[in-house]
Amino acid sequence: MKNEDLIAKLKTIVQPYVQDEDAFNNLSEETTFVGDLKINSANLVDIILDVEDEFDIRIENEEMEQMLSVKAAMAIVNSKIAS
Amino acid sequence: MIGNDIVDLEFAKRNSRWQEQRFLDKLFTTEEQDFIRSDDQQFQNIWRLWTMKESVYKITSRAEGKIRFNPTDFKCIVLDSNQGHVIYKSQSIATATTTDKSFIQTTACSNPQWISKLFQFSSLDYPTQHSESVQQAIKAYAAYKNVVDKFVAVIKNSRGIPQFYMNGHLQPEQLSLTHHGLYGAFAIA
Repeated sequence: MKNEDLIAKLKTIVQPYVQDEDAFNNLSEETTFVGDLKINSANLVDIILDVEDEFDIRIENEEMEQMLSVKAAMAIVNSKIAS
Repeated sequence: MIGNDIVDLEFAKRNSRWQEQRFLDKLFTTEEQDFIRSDDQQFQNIWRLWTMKESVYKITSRAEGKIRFNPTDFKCIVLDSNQGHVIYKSQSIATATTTDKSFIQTTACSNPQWISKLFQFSSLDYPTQHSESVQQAIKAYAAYKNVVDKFVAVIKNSRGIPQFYMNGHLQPEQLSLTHHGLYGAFAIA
C-alpha cells in the first residue's frame, strides 16, 4: 500500500478521537496520538482495534506498546500486510 | 510521585469498544478480567481498573522518561471500593478511587500526602478544559502555600509535564492533571 493511502486510512480511524483539530489537519508521519492529537489514552485501544479491523490484521500486546505515532502505526501495519 | 486519571462514564459508554473481548485482552490480565466479571458492574469495573493503571502509568512513565502503551504490565489489586494497589515491575503503588454514577477517578501516589479536586466542565473544548484545570490547580496550590494566585504559574517542561513555579522558581511539589468528557481533576503531592 502506498504511504499516502495508508496515512489517509489512519486519519479516518483516528479522527473520531482527535481533540486537537489543528494537529489533525497538519498530520504527518511524525504526529503522535496522545502528545499531538490529544487523543485520550482511554481511546488508544479503540484505535488499535479499529486498525486491526480495517487492515484485517492482529496486533500483539508487545507490538502495540510502541504504537503511539502515525509512523509507528504505519510500520506495524506494513509489516503485517506484507507477511 | 503522583498520577491521576478520570473517566467520564457517559462518554466512555458511547466512545469505546469496551464490550468486546479483544478490548479486554489488550488492557487486562486474566486475573483482572475475572475481577471485571465478578459482579454485574462490568462496565464500572473496567473503568475502575483502567483509571488505576493509567494513574500509575503517569508516575512510572515520568520516572522512566518514556511513553509506551503497555497496560497489561500494570497489575491491579483491588482491596475495596476505594483502595487498591498497582504492581509495575518490582514496585507497588497505592491507589484511591472515587466512583460516581457519572465518573470514576483514581489518584495514585507513592506517599500518602496529596490533595486533589474534581470539577465539571461546561465545554468539551480541549484547550478550554486544559486552561480551566490549570487555573484550578494554581488556585489550590496558592492556597496550600498561602500565597496570592498570581505568584504561582504552571509551565510544562520539555517532556510535556506540568510543573509549579513560584516567583519564577521551580517548586518541588508535583502536579498531575486529567480530563475526559465533561470531568476533570488535578492532584498535587
